[in-house]
Order: sequence, then structure tokens, then C-alpha cells
Amino acid sequence: MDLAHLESLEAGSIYIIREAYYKYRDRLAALVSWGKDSTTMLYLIREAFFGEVPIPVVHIDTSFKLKPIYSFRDRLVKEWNLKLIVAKNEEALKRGMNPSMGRFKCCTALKTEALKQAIAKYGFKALFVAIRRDEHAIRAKERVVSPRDSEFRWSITDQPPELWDQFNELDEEGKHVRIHPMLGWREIDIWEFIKLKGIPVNPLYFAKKWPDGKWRRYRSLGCEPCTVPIESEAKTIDEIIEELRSTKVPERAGRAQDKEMSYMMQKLRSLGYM
Amino acid sequence: MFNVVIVGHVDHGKSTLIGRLLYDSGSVPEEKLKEIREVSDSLGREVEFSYLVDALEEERKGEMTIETTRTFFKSRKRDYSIIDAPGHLEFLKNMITGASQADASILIVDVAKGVEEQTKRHAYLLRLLGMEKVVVAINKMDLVGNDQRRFEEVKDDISSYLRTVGLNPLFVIPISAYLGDNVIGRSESMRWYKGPTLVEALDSMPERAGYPYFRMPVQDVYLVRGERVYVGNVISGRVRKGDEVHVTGSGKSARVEKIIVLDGELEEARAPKGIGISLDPDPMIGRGSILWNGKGLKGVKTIESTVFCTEELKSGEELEFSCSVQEAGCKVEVFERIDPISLKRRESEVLGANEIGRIGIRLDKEVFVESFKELPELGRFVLRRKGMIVGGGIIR
Repeated sequence: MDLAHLESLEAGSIYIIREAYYKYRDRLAALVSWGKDSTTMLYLIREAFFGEVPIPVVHIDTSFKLKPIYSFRDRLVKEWNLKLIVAKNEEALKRGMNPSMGRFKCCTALKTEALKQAIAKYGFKALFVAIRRDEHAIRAKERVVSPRDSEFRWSITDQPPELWDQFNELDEEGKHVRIHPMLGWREIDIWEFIKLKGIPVNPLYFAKKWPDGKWRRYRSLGCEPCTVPIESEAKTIDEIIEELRSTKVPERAGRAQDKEMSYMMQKLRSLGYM
Repeated sequence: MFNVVIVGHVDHGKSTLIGRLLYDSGSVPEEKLKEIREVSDSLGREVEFSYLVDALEEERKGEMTIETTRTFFKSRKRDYSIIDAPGHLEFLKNMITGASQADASILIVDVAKGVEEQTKRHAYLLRLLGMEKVVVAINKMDLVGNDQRRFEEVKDDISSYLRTVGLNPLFVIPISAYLGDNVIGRSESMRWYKGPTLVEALDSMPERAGYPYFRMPVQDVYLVRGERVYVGNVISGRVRKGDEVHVTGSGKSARVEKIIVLDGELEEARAPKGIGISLDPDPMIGRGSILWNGKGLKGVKTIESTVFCTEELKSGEELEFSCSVQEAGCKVEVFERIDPISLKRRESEVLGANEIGRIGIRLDKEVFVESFKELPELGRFVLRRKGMIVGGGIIR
């Protein structure tokens, strides 16, 4: 474990979190999915504010999330005293929206639209999102502070410059910024940090024996119909770190919305997807 | 982690070089290679390594990089993060964004085409951003039959330009990103070249040395369990409980009462670390002050510097200035425009988007700086219009 590297990532993230809080105060919220990255981000927010999470924590709930995500959420909300906002696109769910109607359509309705509704309702101008550059080639092109217009569009081919540790500030009617405090972290950094700090993680990440006799674990968490576990025998954080050192399978291989063939991630993200 | 940006003229092979680095170092997942093969097929092309970084639909169909991106690979010595910067003039703000995050840079030059406009512009911008660790990769050696004489010609050309702008390349290396010659593995077809391969050259570069004196720019003031706590990152040196520290701009000094982190208190904090500090007596300061000890900082109210701008800048205009967490209003005066291609200087009151020039900045309050070389965090600044960054430079 490269401790100096982790300390530099940690200090960099805390710096971004405090900058964002200074600029946006009560118009700032954290968007979380209760996976390892969001949980680590919440931990870093607690570090920045000495144990407190002074901003609302928004969970975009498609209602299709893997069951243990909900119980893990409830546990953290209690332990860390979080101000939870659950955002659901109730209207689309009533219409019966689900992945069989098309993944692109479903992600847009139950994630992007639900987020739009939450932003309109609470008036947020800035959102922390725990995406990382090494997750996906499209996310690799993100800025730390990334503006979105009123339609949530990300103009990926016309992003403003971002220099050193200076970030753009945007205060225009209808627009908001996504703030990415973890952008420079790699998957392995997250796990080494989780180990170092003893951060709680969802048990879905650890391998279990499936009915067919094979061992599997989730490497990335999402909606039940669109997320598949990987074959793995890593039952502890140490074994996960060991596995990541040698794997050649991408992190989000089990996530259906990521396939690059049809530029689906780019299209989703340009519409406001995380 | 060592951050390296790859810059140079469009089509000189930046993305291909990154693809090659990833492939030869075994950093490309099988599934990803399969996808790249299929996409290349569907566009009727040979397998294109650049697709590993050029993930956007516009980038693949248009065969160019638009947005700066980041990938990771591991050499025998250390972990690298490689930043790809687009070569087109219109995407210069993306190139600057990428380059500002780098510890070192590779300037890539197509040996057949030689030094071109963006080669020079990018080199000039590296210098402007304070980059000192530069390696030149003379690429596409396979296209000129690995000819040493042609290599030497291009090497002389680029070296003389770099010297004129004050850059001193650490190595000039003949490579073929397409074939992988002298990238990670040594080339069999260029036995005349005795220097290091590209990755050996990167491995030989030292990490940034730390600045010895304690500096902590105050980001904000929080009330923690009834106590006023100054929060920020220790950007250099170290601080201990009981130390006497000074506050820029106030002439005040105070004793460090507590160093606070999530789990409680620390006896000592070293850079880089995000902490909270309570001081006795409380100097009642706010964001923008810098806590320091050791050598004093330089207070300035005017700055003269060479800057680049991503939007038009006019003499007399009022803008916002930021250096670390220090913020001030400012009035700029444009002196001259510098053409990075011909290196000609022309008197001007306006700098256009993507232009470079010499300007004076008059600040509406004192800010505290260091030279970029000693402590980059306090030796660089940006100019903003309504919060959005429109230009920047460094303090030499």
C-alpha cells in the first residue's frame, strides 16, 4: 500500500469538499448510491467536517436496487446521522417503467428524471457525485467541477477550462454543477483506503457461494435486473485488493448501461446521467 | 502516482502512444480490446489503439481527440497516470486543463512532418504553466525507415525552439508508437540510438521535492463543538501543537492550541493533509488568510506575468483573481501579444481567446505569493469572469 499516495488523494478530496461547501453552503447536496465510492465519499465529507455531514444526502431510488443496498443505507443513515432524501420518479414507476422497456429509457426515467425532480424540488445548485476517471473512458474526460444546463446537458465537447486546484464557480439560474471529489481515485485506491480507515462497505462486494456452486461477488452495485456479479472468491477486503492487482476485467463489466459499442454511456451522460 | 501529460500537434500520435503504453504494459482489459476491435471493424479500419482513450463518438468518427482524458499504467518502477491532451487549436482549453495536472510531459513530434504549429504552441504553454520536466518523443520513425539523419534534423529543430522559450528537454527519443519501438521495449531497428526508452526516461524523473516551511491557506471557519476552527490543507512543511504560527496580512501571531481531524486531535500534521486548527489567542481571521511559519511570504498588490486566455481579455477590464484560496478583485492591463509560433511580440490592448500575452494585474487587496518553482500552490493564479476561469499564469 502506497500510504503517501492515499494521503495525497485524501487531502485533495477534503480540499474539494470544503471548497464546494464554502461556495454553495445550503444549496449543496451529496448524491449517493451506497456503493463503495459513495460510502468513501461520505466518509471524506465526515473527515472534512469532523464527523458531521452538514448537507443532505440524496439517494436516487429506482426501486430496482439490489435489496441489501437498502438495508446498508438504513444502517449508515443511522450510524452517521445523515439527512437522507429519497428521490423517486413515482409517476414513471406508476406507469410501470422497468428495464424491459429499454435500458436507456429506464435509466433516463428512473435516474436522470428522478434527479431532475429532486433538484427542482430542493433548489440544489451543486451536487457531489463519487464518479472516478478509471471507471469508464467517458468519465475519464470529466472535470472536478462540471456544469450542467437547465436540461441537465453535459456539453462534453465544450467544457470550460479547469486549472490546478482552481475550479469554476457557476451561479446561473436553472444551471447546476456536479462536483467530483473522487475523480482521481482508482478502484484499488478506494479499497486500500477502506481498509486503512475501516470504512463500512456493503456486504454484496464480498464473494458468496451461489446455488450453482460457483463463488461470485458484485464489483459494482446497481439495479438488480441490470447488474450481474463477477466470478470471484474474494471474501475479504484483502482478497479484493489482491484480486484487483491481477484482474484484467473492467470494473463495470457487470453493468449493462456501460457498453461502449453504442456510445450508451456518452448518450446517458450528455442527458444528465451520473 | 506520477502524472504525465502528452502534448503535441494534431495527428502526431498522442492517443496512439497512450494506447501503446497501456497495451505494452498489460493495462488493457481483454474485454476492452475486444470492443476496440469490433468498433474498428464497424468503422472499416485497422485496430486503432487510440480508441482506448478516444471514447467519444465524435472522437472516433472524426479521428481526433477532443477532450483531455486520463488513463493509468504501471512501469517496473511506479504507477503512472497519463493525461491525453487534444492537439487542435480549438481545444486548447482542454489541453491546458490536462497539462495543469501533470508532473511531467511528453512532447510528441511526427518525424516525417517535423515541428508544426501546435508543437510550438503546446511547448510554449508548458513553459507558461511552469512545467520543467519535458521529454521529446520523435514519433513515427517507422515511416522514415528509422533514419537517424532525419531524427537528428527534427531533434535540432525542436531543441532550438525549446531553448528559445526557456525549456530544456531532459531527453529526445526516437520512437514508433504504432510499432512500440523505444516506448517500453528497446527498438531492434534503431540500434544507433543509445539513450533510454520513453518509459525508462519517465522512470528516471524525480518526484516533486517538498517545500520546508509550514503553509496552510485558510479555506473556511467552522464552529466545532462551540469552538472556532480554521480549516484548510497543510500544503507544505509541518505544524505541531504549541507551535507559534503567523497570519498573512494581519501581522498577528498565535499559538496552535489544537490540530483537529475526524478521529480527534493530532500532535503534528504534515503536508499534504486537510486539518482544522484552533489558535490562541484567536486572531479572528477568515478565508484567504495563510497560516505560516519559517520564511515569510511576499505580499503583492500588482503582478506582471505572461498569461494565456481562453476568452478575450481587454485592457481596463475588471476581473476576479484567485491564487490558492486568496480571492481579490483586479483590473488588467494588456501590454503585448506573443505569437508562440514566430515568437514575435506585438503591442496590444486586447488578447483574444487562446492567445498568449504579457499583462499587468492590479489587485484591490494584497495577496501573498511564492515563486512557482518553490511552492506551486502559491505561485500560480487564475483570472475569472463571473466565477468562470478565463485565463491564468504563474509567478516566477
